[in-house]
Amino acid sequence: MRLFKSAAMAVVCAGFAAAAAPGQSVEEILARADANMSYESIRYSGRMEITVGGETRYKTMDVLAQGTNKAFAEFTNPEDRGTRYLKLDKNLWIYFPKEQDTVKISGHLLKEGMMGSDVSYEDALESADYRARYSALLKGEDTVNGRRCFVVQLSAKVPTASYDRQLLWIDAERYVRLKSEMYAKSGKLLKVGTTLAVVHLGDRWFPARTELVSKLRNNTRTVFSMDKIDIGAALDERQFSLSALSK
Amino acid sequence: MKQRNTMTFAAMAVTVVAVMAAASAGAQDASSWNLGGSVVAQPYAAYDGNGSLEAADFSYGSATTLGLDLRARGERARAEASAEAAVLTGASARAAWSAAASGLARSDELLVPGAAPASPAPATLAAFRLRTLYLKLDFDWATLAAGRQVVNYNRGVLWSPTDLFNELDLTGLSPVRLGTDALRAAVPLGTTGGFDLVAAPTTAPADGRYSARLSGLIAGIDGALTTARAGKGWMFGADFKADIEVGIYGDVAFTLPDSGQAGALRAAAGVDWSIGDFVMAAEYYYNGGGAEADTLFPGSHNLYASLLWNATELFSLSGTVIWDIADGSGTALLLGSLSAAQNATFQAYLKAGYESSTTQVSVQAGLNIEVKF
Repeated sequence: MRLFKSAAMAVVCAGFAAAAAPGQSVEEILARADANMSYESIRYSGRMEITVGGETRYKTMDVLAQGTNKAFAEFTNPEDRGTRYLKLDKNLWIYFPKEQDTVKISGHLLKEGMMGSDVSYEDALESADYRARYSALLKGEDTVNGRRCFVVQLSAKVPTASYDRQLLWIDAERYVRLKSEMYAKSGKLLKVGTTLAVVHLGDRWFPARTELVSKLRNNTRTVFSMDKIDIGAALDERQFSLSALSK
Repeated sequence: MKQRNTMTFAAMAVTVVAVMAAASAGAQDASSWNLGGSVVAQPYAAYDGNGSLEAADFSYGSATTLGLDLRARGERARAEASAEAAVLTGASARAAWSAAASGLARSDELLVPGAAPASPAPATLAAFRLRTLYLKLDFDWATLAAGRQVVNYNRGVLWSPTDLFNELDLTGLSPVRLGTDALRAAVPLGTTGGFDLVAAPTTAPADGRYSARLSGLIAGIDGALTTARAGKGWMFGADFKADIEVGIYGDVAFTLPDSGQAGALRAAAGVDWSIGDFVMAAEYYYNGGGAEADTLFPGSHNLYASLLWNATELFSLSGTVIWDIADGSGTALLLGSLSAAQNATFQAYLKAGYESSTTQVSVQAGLNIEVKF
């Protein structure tokens, strides 16, 4: 089975044109992509649209994050209003307002869908910053929605990486991720992400609307939209603390 | 009853003032307020008997509850009021009426008809509860809160012996924590630590509950030490939650009465883990204090186990068992939960219980329909 999955992966990769960008290394490509998609700090309003079959539910939230290790989110939709998340490194706490209860979430749940979506806690609360957590290999070029892309394979080099392996389709002109495939250690395809909207913020391009489809479930998709994006926002360090979670 | 009503309306007035004050306090800053709530309908049918199928063994009831939450938040102040009004029919009305007559019901839960609880229960009655009402002030060095608030030292899924403010409403599908009239000061210690002082006095202050709790995250372990003065004795407790691929947690409390009698040890330990779409939890509870220490779970050795299957993003199925090992009594709950529409949840459940001392069997089937706004 493992051999079959590895072979399948190889077939996928072989489908891309083998030519790399002349004079551009994969490190340079990732550095430019990281420069666009990673951040020291960010503040935004998020919206998740979870579709199962013909049914769609939405959830809204305000998110603050610093680098890859600190994130704070507060849900604002009626069903989950006041529910808050605090992520510090690999520790995640959830605050439930009705019970005024702060619960530390076990690590095995970090890869579970956040609020019933296809977006895991790790997907939602982490900065991209690929170079810090993955080693990269340029697989070639491909086209996504008519745009030329570099295809980069990422392999986890630190245990804190969310996925064992990822394939990224990086826009060759704007250096922003247009498509991604996330794989488990076994080689199984877990999720496929597609960027639906890219916005220009200051001197960078940023994926502001992304569709995530879980390949472990049938007929589901989650669209995650970011609005009021403030990259480099001045954030109060105390916001990323347990005391702030229950305030 | 009239006195209770007067107290409630006075409390409501204080809430409005507090909320307005909090909102205006942060008016120059990023202040905000919101009003939300829910409507919940819970019809059910039940059987209570020891094998016979007489008409008196069957009952029907319903509860329709409107909950309102008003929250105001300024830069340095926050106020919250949460109130619930319910219309109860049939068995639900009789149960509430009996609780009021027994004196077990809290004095702030009002049965609106105004009759003495000793009289026969009406077929329909209304109830009102002010769940929380507090003002919180935030300083750089501490957060101070005063009023009716939920004080939660909960560590386990079901049992947390150090959680001495755990006033629970167990009438629903899952326990709902009620507010405690208290003063609270929380001092943050670094990013993940804190020192918490709570005073919940009663009309006789010596009978109140007073606690100090030190908590923090050390080497990935979330832990806390608690000491408390509760009624006529002292309580010393410790609890933790750690993560070793699966989540493990423990909670132990030792109660020492002033009377000189032997102290009582209570302890709980649990584990949670997940495989794919399945989330499991198991918990053990030792109660060395019997019914005096824990009226809800008086048995020495108790077990809790749950299995949740997230079948889709919109539908889940769960099973829960609570079992008194020594006594041989327990309950089991099977629950299906469907996100029926945006902000609307539809649940159907089947609950069964067995009481070994009376050989009484109870079975309840019902719905729980909730719309949030």
